[in-house]
Amino acid sequence: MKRKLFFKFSAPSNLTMITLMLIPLGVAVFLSLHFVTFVNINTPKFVGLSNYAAILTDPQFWQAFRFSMVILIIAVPIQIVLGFCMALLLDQIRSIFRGVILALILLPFVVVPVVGTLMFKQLFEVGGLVAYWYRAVFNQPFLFTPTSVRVLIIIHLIWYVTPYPLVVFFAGLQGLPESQLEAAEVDGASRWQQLVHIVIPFLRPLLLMTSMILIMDMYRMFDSIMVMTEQNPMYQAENLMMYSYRVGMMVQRLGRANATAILTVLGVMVVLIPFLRITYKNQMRNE
Amino acid sequence: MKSLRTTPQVSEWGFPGWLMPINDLVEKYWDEYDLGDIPQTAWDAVTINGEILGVPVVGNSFLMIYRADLFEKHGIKVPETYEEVIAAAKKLKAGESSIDVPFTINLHAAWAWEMEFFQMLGAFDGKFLNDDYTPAFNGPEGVKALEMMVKVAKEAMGPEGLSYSIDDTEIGLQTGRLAFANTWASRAVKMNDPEYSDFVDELKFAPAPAGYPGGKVAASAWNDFYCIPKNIDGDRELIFQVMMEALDLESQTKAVEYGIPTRMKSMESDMVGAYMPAAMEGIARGAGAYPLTPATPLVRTALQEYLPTIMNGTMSAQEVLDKAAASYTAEAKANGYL
Repeated sequence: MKRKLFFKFSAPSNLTMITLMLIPLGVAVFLSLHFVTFVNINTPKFVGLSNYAAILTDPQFWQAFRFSMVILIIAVPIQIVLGFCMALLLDQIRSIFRGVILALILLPFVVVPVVGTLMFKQLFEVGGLVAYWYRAVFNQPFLFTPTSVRVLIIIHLIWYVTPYPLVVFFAGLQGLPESQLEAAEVDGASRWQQLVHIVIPFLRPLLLMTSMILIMDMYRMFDSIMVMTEQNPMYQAENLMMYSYRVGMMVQRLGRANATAILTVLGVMVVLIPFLRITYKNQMRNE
Repeated sequence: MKSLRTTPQVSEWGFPGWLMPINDLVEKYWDEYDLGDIPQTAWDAVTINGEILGVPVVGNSFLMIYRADLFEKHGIKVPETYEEVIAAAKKLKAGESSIDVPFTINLHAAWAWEMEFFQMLGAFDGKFLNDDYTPAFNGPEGVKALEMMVKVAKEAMGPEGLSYSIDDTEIGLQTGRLAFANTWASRAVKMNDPEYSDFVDELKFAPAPAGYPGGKVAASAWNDFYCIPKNIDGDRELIFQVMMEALDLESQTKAVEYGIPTRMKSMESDMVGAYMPAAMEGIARGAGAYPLTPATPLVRTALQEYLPTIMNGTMSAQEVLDKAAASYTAEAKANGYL
């Protein structure tokens, strides 16, 4: 396709992207350079980079950054591996139950996040089912402590997000040519060898894309943590989004909250660079 | 358009000028709608610099709900101070196997810590701010209040009680898992309702405990208001009249079954809950609301940010409060209040 024609066809989506992404980003950059509260929102005061300096010297920001990284490092690989394994298992089921099982697995992902988190949290609260079992087994109450709350957040994120990679990988597996697997089987390849040399390379682009989306999602996670912690600093489970919300909505430092948002965007980009590089290389190779 | 606002929002939205003053309408319709039936303290809670910014609709306060049968069984008299609460809780913890948690105040979330601190601070004669908006909450009264909260949390509640939300407290009392609690008066409404409570006759009510014998109770008193946004285009007088219709004596009399309405005549109803005398005594003994200052929201935010961290055991009460004071001071200066 000629370049000129390409730009014509892609113009509507490009315009939409610019309107919905670049303009808000520009406003965020503008606000991040100003002292703005809800009171002086119409007359922001320029303060240069002092919002950024304040954030980068705030120990609470770094604590939130660390917890964001912990979520990223623990949750994303588990979501990918678990989603992949479950997709493989689901692919083996050929009966009518496949649809039923898929629907059941999708439930956590379909439920509104806040509602899902509340239901999950209630299992561990006073009178909750898991809390009841815990007491029955260990003869002591289940307690919300910094460790238990952080672990519960990560477990919840895995439980709630894993259906997404599962569906993507399952859809990818439906496109895998049977002939390749049959040929490998004839050549004596084991199931493991088929998986490593045929299935995973075939799903590689999907693995990359899903990883990128999950990294972005986990980095920006808000609702689950908000519901699980109710902003109680005792649990030390604030991530960057929660930090940004607190600074913006509670302390009412809108400029500083926007500076946090800009730093978060930059942070996501840094984390995504290796993935983007691999995707770019793959694309070049294919061309 | 009308909206219901609680006392903290009167500061947050009133001082920036986002709420419409209605002095003229209140004056004009004072007799027609019998607005004198609403206590002056409720009007004061929505008046900033002489401008009335809303109409008080409903109130709420704190009180103590306790299992009279368990108190009697263990020879415990109804606690009047927090030291007595701790002693009673210890006795129940040691001798009563039917309960999981002896006592709770609400400490499950950051905002809950701040609210309980506000109440305890009042019970030790402290205050949030000095007249010049410098922090007062980190003085000796604040330290005593926070130390008492920690003592209550550790000795009367235990780690399980620390995670009790307001809902957990209500259900805990109704199901017998919890022996007594200092909680919202509105949560007392269903204590004697057999549809919700297994201990209809056993659950009784008393004023919130005090910080020291004869002192103020560790409670607060709140009103919610109908307010009109300042930027409204509609007919403000008509909106005011609609608000007044919703606030008539008939509606308020029916509401006593569910809470504390603001019209005093509604209290003459037979439906007034058994908890009401205890709630009213608490209000009479010093329960109040947040100070109406533009800096109050910043104090609350700073306290929410730091108070719960005392349970991590790395800072003393004084250090926690000093950190909150430093955080508040920085924001108050940035906002031009200091």
